Amino acid sequence: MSNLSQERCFNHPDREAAARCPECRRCFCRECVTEHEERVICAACLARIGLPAGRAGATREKLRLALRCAAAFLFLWLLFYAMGRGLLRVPSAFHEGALWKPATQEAP
Amino acid sequence: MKRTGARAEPKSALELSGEALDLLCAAPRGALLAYYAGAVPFVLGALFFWADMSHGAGAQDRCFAESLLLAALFAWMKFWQAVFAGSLMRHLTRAPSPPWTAARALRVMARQAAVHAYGLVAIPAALLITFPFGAVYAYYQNLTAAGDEGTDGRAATSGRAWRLALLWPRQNHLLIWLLSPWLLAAGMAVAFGAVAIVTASLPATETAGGMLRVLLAVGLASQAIVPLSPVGSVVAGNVAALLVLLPAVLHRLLGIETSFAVAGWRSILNTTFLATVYAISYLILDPVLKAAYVIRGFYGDSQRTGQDLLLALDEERGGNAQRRKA
Repeated sequence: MSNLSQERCFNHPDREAAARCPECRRCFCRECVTEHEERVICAACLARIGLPAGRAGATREKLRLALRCAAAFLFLWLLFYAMGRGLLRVPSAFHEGALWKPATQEAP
Repeated sequence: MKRTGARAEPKSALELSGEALDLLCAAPRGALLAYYAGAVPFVLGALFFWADMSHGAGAQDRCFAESLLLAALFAWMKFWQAVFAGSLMRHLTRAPSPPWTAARALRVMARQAAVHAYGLVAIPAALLITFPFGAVYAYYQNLTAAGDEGTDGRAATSGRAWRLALLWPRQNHLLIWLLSPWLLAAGMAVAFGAVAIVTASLPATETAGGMLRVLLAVGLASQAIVPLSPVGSVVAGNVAALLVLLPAVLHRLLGIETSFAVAGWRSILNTTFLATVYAISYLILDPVLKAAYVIRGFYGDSQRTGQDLLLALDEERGGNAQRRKA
């Protein structure tokens, strides 16, 4: 891999390169890159991967969120149902404090 | 603030807890109202579910519908907790509040429900394994503290939450130890189990002696909760004392006969009483913990953005301008 200090900006050949885009592997000056999800990335790649493509992308994103939400809700429902079934299985003597009766009951 | 590098610990857990209480006092009343608008219905629903599943006749038939309602209440609570955290963060950064629309509310609710549902399994599992508990717990708290904007992508929000969870591990673990309701739950489960084992293993005697032994076992078991959750045990102890004494005080002073006063000691020796004590303690501890994670997130982000310094500068400028005017 060539040394970054010897590279020029892909968009501005008169400027020194400041970073290499991890997506397209091209070198860019300070003005042509930005931070996105903890990576320094060029504007063209950001537009390609960072933003959903138009209305179809936005709809797909909403659909994905709705599906994830529905799956999580179903998971929650089943989890609480399993907890309820678990509570039903515990003997009521345990819940109602009858466990303490031997130690606290009155002598005949 | 002392800054010796990117990994420097800027605040102790105690300082952060104090700041969290200050933030709760200084924040708009609506923030705490938002928190309780979500948490109280869920806690009441959970207590009803617990009591019904443990005592109710024909509870088996209702389990399916009630668990569905509880799942909906959980999603509702997580939405309002995000609103609460967002409101605290905006108060901290003095940022304007974006307008609420139905689409934004739905997006925030869907995002919060989609991540926090799995937290109900991930957090107890991490607590059982012990060592990843701090990071996993902080991750879910940071997802709530990410607030109600709902504009960042899932990967960005998740990445930020995980980065902040791994930041300042000592502070994070001490904060959890001080304020986490999960450690209180673990302590109460241990104490309840210890009391059950001690009392069940003793032979039956007359009321006074038996009760003395039960009280001794409860006292010893409560000592087990203190090292696990020091603040939580104080809160839970106060809540339990209030719940025990209130019916007796009502009976003595006003002559009001409640079923708790009639049942006497029996009313506290059951799992529903324990669940009620925990639920009220949760409602007291959790907003403070969430506020502490909002502040922790603010300081964590400020390491990159310098926002804490910018706000301090703004404050200084405002103070100078006022002095000049005077």
